[in-house]
Amino acid sequence: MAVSAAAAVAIAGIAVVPSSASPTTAAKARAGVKVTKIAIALPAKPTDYGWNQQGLDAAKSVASSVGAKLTTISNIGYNNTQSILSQLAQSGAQFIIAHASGYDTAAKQVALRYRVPVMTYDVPNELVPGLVSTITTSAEQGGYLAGILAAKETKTGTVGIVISASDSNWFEMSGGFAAGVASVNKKIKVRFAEIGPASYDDSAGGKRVASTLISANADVIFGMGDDASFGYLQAVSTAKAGHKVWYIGDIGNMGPIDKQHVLLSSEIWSFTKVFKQAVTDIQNGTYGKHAYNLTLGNGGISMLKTQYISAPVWAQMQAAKAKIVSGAIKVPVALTLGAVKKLVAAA
Amino acid sequence: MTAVLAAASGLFTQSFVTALIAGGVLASIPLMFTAVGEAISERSGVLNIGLEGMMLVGAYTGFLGAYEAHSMWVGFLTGALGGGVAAALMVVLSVRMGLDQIVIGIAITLAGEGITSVLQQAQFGGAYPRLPAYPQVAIPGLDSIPILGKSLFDQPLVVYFGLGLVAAVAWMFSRTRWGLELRAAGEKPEALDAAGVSVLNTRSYATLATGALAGVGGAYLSVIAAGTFTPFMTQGQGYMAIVIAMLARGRPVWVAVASFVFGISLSLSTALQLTGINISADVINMLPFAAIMLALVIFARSAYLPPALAVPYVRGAR
Repeated sequence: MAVSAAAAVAIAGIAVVPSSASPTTAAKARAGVKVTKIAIALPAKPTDYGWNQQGLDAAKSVASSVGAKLTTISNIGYNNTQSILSQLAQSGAQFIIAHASGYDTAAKQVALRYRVPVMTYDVPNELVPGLVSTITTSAEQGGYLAGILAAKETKTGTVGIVISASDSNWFEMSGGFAAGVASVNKKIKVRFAEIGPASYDDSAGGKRVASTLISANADVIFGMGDDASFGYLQAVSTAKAGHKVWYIGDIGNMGPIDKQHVLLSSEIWSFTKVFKQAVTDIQNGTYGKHAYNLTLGNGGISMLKTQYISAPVWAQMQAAKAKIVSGAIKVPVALTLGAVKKLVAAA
Repeated sequence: MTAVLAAASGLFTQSFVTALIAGGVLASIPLMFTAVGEAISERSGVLNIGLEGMMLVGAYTGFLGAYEAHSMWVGFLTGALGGGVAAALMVVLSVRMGLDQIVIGIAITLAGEGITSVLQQAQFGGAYPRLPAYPQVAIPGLDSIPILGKSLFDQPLVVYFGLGLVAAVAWMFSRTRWGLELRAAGEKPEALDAAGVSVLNTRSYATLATGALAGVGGAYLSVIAAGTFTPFMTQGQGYMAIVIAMLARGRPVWVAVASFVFGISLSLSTALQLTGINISADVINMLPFAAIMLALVIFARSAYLPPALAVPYVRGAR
């Protein structure tokens, strides 16, 4: 109750923890202090086989490995973020993971007000020493490998991409996918469709659009999109195309619910290493001085190996991975829909 | 431009166009059920802003019924029951107690979103079970028409029931005593009352019917359109149904037409993207909504709303 009351005061705009200490001073003060309480705020349920589940699993793993207590608040949406993050700060959390780019602004404000280190997403130019760092993702790298896989597995010569929203990470993955397909065979057609600008939860729309892609002859579907992903999986599972249709997912592993054996692979994002590094940085007083990035090289991004991927194809993907890590292959980064379309058209 | 045309020519095969139209039908049916329900409610004088919540409840209970009983018909029945139960709140609070219909409608939507999300988590956790593809029924003769046959006349049986429902409601409005009473409840409730017919009962039945139809619309989304239930899956379709009911001036046949226009526009927006045409995706995605707005601009001047819409009825009140 005390926590709620304090948060209410904070919401009212009263700084309950005034501090004249600079961020750098705050970082120095925390250096050497062991992090014993971590908190994570998730926009949706942590059972989505995607963003939320991967975030929570990583936070649990890191909390366990460093001996910290983990507080989880899930399914909070985007309407009351500042209040919830304030409550987490007031509850004594020494590191708050605000697990959505939509929380960035509120998270930074809470970090500055309560002097608690927070993790944000995709804002590398918003760092505050000791208080605010961010995670970016080289999502295009995994997309490139998914493109190689799709190009190798397609029998119709057409593959599809479906995204549920105008999300920069999905643009990156889509662009990488198109480039990966082109690296194998430029004659393969890549079809691209978006359900809507923010149709993250539109599972019915996901099924409709994925079914349209399948009717356009695509036999490998690369799908990105929170709960809409369940619609993609359903469309592929129930497709009556007269031939096998495969699904490549993103962020998490939908294998446990793939009863029809259509999940070919998934671009997996793992936050475990960066969360652990963040805790180390907080304890060393170096937090907020640099951003973190998920890449193929640091294991933040990987491709799910299923039994349906043949050894030669997997070997080819691994070879491409090695070249990406070494810099021999430069995967194009598409940050806008226009850039994705150019790569798709060029594929 | 040449490249786009080349891509489009390869894309628009017979099977693709068939799938596009079928996709449009798929997207329009939930709207049609729900908007027909809203038309009934509005005719009786009840503005049902809670359709979104009723759809969600129907989507959840419909999915649960279909999943547990392995029958889509049980799913539609439980969906109707779920939507009806949600509508019962509207009946008690707004029709009977006279509380503000808009406030109660919003409350029902918010409650529907929260309750179904919690129930889904409690019931299934992270399992996200999915339903099989249910059989479709082809209409002999019509289903062999090129392109249109397979897209329009080879549908799940419930689609034909939906079209039959539209005709039945249109007939009920214009040719039956109950239809007359319903319209009187929305236009001159005091006259209906003077004639010895209970305004509150008439509005209550209409609201329950609305809830049941919104529940069927929601069940169609989860059982047929998606094959699974995910929280918040209605994505504002309840609100769109309200717009369609108003646009159609409460006439069921126009409700069906407007729903179909919306569904086809939605499907076309996907097709335009697949051609690789160089138009902003935001513009393409606006197409279905622009189609509805355009229709509103054309028809809005003659849009008819019952004079007693959203006005609680209190006998003797002026």
